[in-house]
Amino acid sequence: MPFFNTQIKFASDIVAANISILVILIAAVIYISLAKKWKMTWSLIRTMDHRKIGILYIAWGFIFFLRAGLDAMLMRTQLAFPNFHFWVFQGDKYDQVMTTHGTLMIFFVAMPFLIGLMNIAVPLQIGAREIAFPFFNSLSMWLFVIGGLLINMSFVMGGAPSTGWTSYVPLAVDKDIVGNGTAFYDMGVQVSGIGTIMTSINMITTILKHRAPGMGFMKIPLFTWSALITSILILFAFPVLSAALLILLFDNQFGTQIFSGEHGNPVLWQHLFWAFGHPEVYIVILPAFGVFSQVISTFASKRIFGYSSMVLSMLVIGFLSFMVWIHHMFTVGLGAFANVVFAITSMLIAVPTGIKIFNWLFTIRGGSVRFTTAMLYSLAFIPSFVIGGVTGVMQAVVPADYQYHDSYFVVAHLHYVMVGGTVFGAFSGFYYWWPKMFGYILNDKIGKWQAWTFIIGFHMTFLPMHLSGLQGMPRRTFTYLPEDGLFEFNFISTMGAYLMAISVLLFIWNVFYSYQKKSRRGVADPWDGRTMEWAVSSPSSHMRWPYLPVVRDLENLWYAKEHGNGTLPFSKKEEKRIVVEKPTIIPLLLSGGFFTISFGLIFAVPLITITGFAGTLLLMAWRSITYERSIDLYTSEQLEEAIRREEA
Amino acid sequence: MGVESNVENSTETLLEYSSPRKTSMFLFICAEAVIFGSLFATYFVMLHHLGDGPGPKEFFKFKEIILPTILLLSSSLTWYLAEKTLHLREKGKTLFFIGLTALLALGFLSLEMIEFLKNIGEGYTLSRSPFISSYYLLVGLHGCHVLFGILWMALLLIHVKTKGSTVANHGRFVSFGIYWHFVDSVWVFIFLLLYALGQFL
Repeated sequence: MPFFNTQIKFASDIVAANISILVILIAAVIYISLAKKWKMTWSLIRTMDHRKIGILYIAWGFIFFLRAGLDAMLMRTQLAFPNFHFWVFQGDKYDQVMTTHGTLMIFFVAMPFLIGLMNIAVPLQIGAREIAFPFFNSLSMWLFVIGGLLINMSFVMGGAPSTGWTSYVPLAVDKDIVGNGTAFYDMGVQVSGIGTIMTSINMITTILKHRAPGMGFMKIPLFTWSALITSILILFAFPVLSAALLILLFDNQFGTQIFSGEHGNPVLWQHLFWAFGHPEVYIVILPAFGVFSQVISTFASKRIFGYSSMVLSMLVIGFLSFMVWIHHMFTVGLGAFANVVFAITSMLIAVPTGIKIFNWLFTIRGGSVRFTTAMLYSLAFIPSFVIGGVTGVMQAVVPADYQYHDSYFVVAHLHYVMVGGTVFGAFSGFYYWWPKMFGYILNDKIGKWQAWTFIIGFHMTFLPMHLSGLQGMPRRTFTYLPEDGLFEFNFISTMGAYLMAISVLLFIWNVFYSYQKKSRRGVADPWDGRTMEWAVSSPSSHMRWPYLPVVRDLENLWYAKEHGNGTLPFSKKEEKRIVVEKPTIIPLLLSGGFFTISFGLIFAVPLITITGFAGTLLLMAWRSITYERSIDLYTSEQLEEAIRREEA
Repeated sequence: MGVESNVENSTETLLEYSSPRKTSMFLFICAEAVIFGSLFATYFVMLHHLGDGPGPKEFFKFKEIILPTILLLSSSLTWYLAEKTLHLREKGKTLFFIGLTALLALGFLSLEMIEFLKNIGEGYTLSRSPFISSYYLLVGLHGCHVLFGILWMALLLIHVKTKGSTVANHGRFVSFGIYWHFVDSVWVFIFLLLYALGQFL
């Protein structure tokens, strides 16, 4: 079928994908209608509440998580047996599924999970009423959703990107690439990247400018510190990707040859990509470190060991993350000197990370540990991440890296840090902050089943990959021969992957089960919390503080519990101008404009692109002109009154 | 006491209102600077990828860029005057200086378009050689920023005309000022590193 300058072939997998999309959409519409939730949906998509925006981040991230997880299942099934032919997932189709898996998991699962948690927890932890710019917060979230949808749509619109999440040139701009895959990758990541940069600006401004009175820098809880450092990394890393993607767009759609062709320079793409790409892996791990710091300190019932060294080590990690990118390119041939310098900086990162690991261990030591699900994930993280870290140092050894490069050893390493670090951290954070998000506690028994199946499945999947990699199995291949001696490793990996899939289903079941049970006992502070987010009601109410809480200690709530009746003291200062944004649909419409621009660029239809640009600019102008009407101004007294009315 | 506390209150309001705005604009500028930095880096790498196209000495016409440079840089001054007159609540002058800034920017942009068209006429199209592509990307992106700035100024004209010297408008001016001075300073780098340095390479 012709479709805007391309062809869509209705093969069995495309038809199946189309049918499942239709079924899900119809089911969603029927559910919302039957449950009479249209009004709620309408208010949710217009919301300016940082907690709800955080929930939307996580919900959309979870949808993409399921899609990317399905891709992983397809890949693992295809790789379960030597010379196997599973459905259509060989050759180019395998490449598409693999690329979608990588791109989605990093940009549209790991990042929204963590940014969602930041949105929920950071304002509460620092005693702010809201994120600095709620409008941009909502816009960032919708831009991320649009980017994710673009990547997801590509599969049924003539071919998904198929050149790996790194999208190396000249392969990515090769004429033989099926469909508009690279363009979908380019615009999807670009649009969500714009949103991510805006979030980082928002987050830094919030943390710098909206801390409660008394909160000096060394009284900021560690999760907020990690959010601050992550945001700084985003701010300086993502624009490099934006520039690189802009050039890639021109190479791909407008016939320039900067990265490719006779005279272009493909290594420049690798430099730009990894100058972004290496900070990126710290962007997705530092917030997870922050989560672990909160969870471990809460459930060990102890103040975090070595707070200042924790902060310092995060700063050092953030700083070093910008000077190690060549270690992804050791085999390019940049010469011994460059390789050695970057090998040393790469190994140096192990030092601050090691400091953090020991601090967590010393926090647990001598504490009265409560083994909740959140704590279980944090405890599982420590050994898993150490394995991932050690294989990382192994690869920082240049001569050895020539052997590991592009083998399953690398796949094993990156999954040990991404899953063992980021995903464990996200799940830990979900179980920990779930009461604050939704006002009910996730069932601990199902949670523990979920955690154990996930942890065992994770090690089953990725531990054998070290060995298959050392045996010489190259990454990004769709099959192997019986005589390669790789069958056992791959089969165990596939079984482990299925176990992880079961675990994810268990999580979904837990959400529904606990929702019906509504375990609300002591939901405002179920874990005997130490930081300020546990001092407000659950779910946290919007704007909540007519008078800001006064911060006396790093663990402000714990301090109040020790030195009083457990309620925070509040500032007496009467504020004259508290800005409250009214809910608005403009962020969603604006991201629709970005979608139109992207669609036009991907399918090379200038008219659609120009319409998109015009619409986007007009919406921005509209927002600017109606700004005075789109906010409410309160004094502290009025806000107190408004909150009391809402509660009644 | 009454007057004093009033002054204190209004200053505080102004500070509270524009301080997060300033912070976030400077952070935004950081991100923009990294984007332009990456494109400058690309340009310098592409100096060695001329293909069959011309080198910088042949390609850049230094004399023709002086006038647009003067136009754009003087727009920073007129913007400064616009901001000052807004604080003095001289609405007419503010409108005049915004208009003047926009006109100077428009003059710069038209001269740049003429330069682009001339280049294309000489056969130096977007895809002639990687070097020329990187030039178009860098200068073109800067041009897009100028264009966006002009549209933004049109919006500011409406705001000042309808609302005058309000707190919200002060915030808007602060944001745009940071943006506009940044766009100008990027041009300084383009002028020095592309056009001027190009004469010696």
